[in-house]
Amino acid sequence: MRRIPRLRRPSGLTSSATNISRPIAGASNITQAFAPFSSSSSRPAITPRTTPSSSSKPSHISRFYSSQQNPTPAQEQTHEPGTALQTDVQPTARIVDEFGEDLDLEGEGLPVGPFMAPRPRAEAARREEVADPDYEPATTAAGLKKVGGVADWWQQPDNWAPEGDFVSFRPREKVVASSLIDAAVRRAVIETFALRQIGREDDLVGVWPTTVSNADLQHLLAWDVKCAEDGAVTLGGDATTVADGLTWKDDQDSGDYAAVPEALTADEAAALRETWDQSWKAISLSDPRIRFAVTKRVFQLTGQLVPDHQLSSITTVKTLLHVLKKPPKPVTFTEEVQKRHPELLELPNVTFTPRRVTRGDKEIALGRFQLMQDELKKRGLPAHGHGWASKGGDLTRMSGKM
Amino acid sequence: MAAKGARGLNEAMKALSLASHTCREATSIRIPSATFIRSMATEVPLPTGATNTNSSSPPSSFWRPAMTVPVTVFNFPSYEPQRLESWSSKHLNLPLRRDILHLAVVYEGDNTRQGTASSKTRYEVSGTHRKVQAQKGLGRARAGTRQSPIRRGGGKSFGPKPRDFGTKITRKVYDLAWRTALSYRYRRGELVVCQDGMELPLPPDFEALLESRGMRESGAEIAARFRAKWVKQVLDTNDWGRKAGRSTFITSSHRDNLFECLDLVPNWGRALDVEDVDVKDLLETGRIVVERDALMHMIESHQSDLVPKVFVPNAALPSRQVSGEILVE
Repeated sequence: MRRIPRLRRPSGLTSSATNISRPIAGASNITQAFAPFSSSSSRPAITPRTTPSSSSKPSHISRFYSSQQNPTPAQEQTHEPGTALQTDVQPTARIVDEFGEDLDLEGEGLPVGPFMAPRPRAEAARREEVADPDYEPATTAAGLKKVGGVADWWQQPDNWAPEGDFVSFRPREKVVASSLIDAAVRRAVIETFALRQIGREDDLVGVWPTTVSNADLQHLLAWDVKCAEDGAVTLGGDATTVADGLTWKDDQDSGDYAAVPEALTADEAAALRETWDQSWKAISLSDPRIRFAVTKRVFQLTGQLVPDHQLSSITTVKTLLHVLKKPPKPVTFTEEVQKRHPELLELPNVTFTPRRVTRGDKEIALGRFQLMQDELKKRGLPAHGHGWASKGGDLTRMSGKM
Repeated sequence: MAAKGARGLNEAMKALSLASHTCREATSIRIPSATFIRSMATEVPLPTGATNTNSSSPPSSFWRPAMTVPVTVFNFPSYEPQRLESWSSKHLNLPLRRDILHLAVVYEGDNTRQGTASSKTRYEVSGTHRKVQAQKGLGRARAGTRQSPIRRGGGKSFGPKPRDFGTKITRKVYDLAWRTALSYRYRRGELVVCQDGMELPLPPDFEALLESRGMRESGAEIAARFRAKWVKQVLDTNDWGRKAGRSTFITSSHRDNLFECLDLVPNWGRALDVEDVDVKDLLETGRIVVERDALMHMIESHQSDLVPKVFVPNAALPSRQVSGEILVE
């Protein structure tokens, strides 16, 4: 309902000095005013935002003028810019001209980064400026279309581009597939020990880029990582190349944590897992620095965070995997029975319902509910619920308030 | 027995003695004070004589609880683990005591009651005290004054009067409840400690956006909607939002952006200054996201049961629990 005050006739209608400040521009100016911005817009998603506004202007303006002379869509289409009626062209040109000025001066209507501000308010022409003698301005809002409003402005994808979304260290989706968790832990272990072998201790606690191609990742995961009896870790590959990949390049933005998501699929990871030597699970993580680096990297890759109180119990890769793969506790008891104890559902003397068994459920089970429904229908009573009766109706009546 | 007449002082003293043996004998079987340690039920059992983690006591076969627990300090709002610290077990790893938590919550509730309910007795209701009607002869019940509690418009017999509902609690118990609540959250993985200066940054383009004419004309509403969407996105991305059971954000001072934005989306979380936090607040919502400084303040101001009031002259003895040592950074 924001539009109504704008549509109302201004009280001080006499002064026209501020209204017409520049000569009437032809329709050709419309395209001139908007052309540079539509073409200079870098993103194609934004381009349609500005261009249709010029073509849709006449219909909007005509609605501002009178509620009695709403042009039909067919009429609108016939109004070619060159042959348009004088009444339509005049205000259109004026408003567009104002837009053009704003755009020229301040860059209004342009997206600010990934966000798009609403277009500045446009005023309808006053009665004196309209040449059409039959023009009768609307005095009430009845019959006018509702336009505008900014209630869901930011919900529209054109106004909030995905680049503007918040990016966290944690990935948007938590990885729960067992094979992918295995792959992420192995990758983290290789990267951490590679950095330690190189001697870049300071980088162990930093943020590492996640950009790696699928082929490189598979190659990395296929390394023959082994843990000797004395705890020495052999990576089975060149640590320098891995460490290089963990350095931020100039073209990468350090604020963007997850530039390219890991493209490894669960099946690929499962196939890779078969080739691994089992001794890698014995790799020690008792060094707090190593453990911190590995858990941090796993959190970045999978979104699985090791709770603080479990950190001290993680001494090897095996214990880490055990903690990460532990399924989350079911939210409801129903869920727990259905997922973890499906054999209980098969018992012959047990009935399972996901929600409470009510009086109505018992009647349905007996087959009596249909009869009751018919009888209720005859008397015009609701089959479910209490119909018109509110919850505290009796209480209100007994306390004398009704 | 002494009343029956003691023959001598020695015999009387013997008769008064409760033990069946003499004092000299009792000394020999007294429990040696070196091994007797008085402990509270809530206390984490301590290894004898060892109060620090680096105790070089001889290896023993039985399990000993850790004296410290690790705490990850995250960046806010990116949720990036930045540091690992060690905090005392007596601060963040106390056993759960539901009874103590209940005491504390009831105590807080009692003291939060406003207690301003008030009604008028027959002596406070205004009006004349003339006899309503004649005592006899009307066929109606006797009536003294209009203010009588049995009459409509009369006073209330035993109505509420303003009073203080506040109760008391032992300070050490209340302090223990604070740390028990924090420990409970810690063990459930619902205590997210963030670095100091926790504030919600708005996108860098937001200021420029506010300057544009369209935003100015649309009023404060559209800017508020922007903030609301932004904070929802931040919370949902970190799994702190509505689906994850809301979050309580605790900072050491008022943070404009964070507090204003969270006020816009009460179903996603709430923000509290550390001075406004109660034990009940620590037990509500899905998780506590707390600034490190605020957590330290909460613990330091609630450890009266740990810090002795007496002065310990020996500086080598640890007089208090130490938290916040950096393990990895």
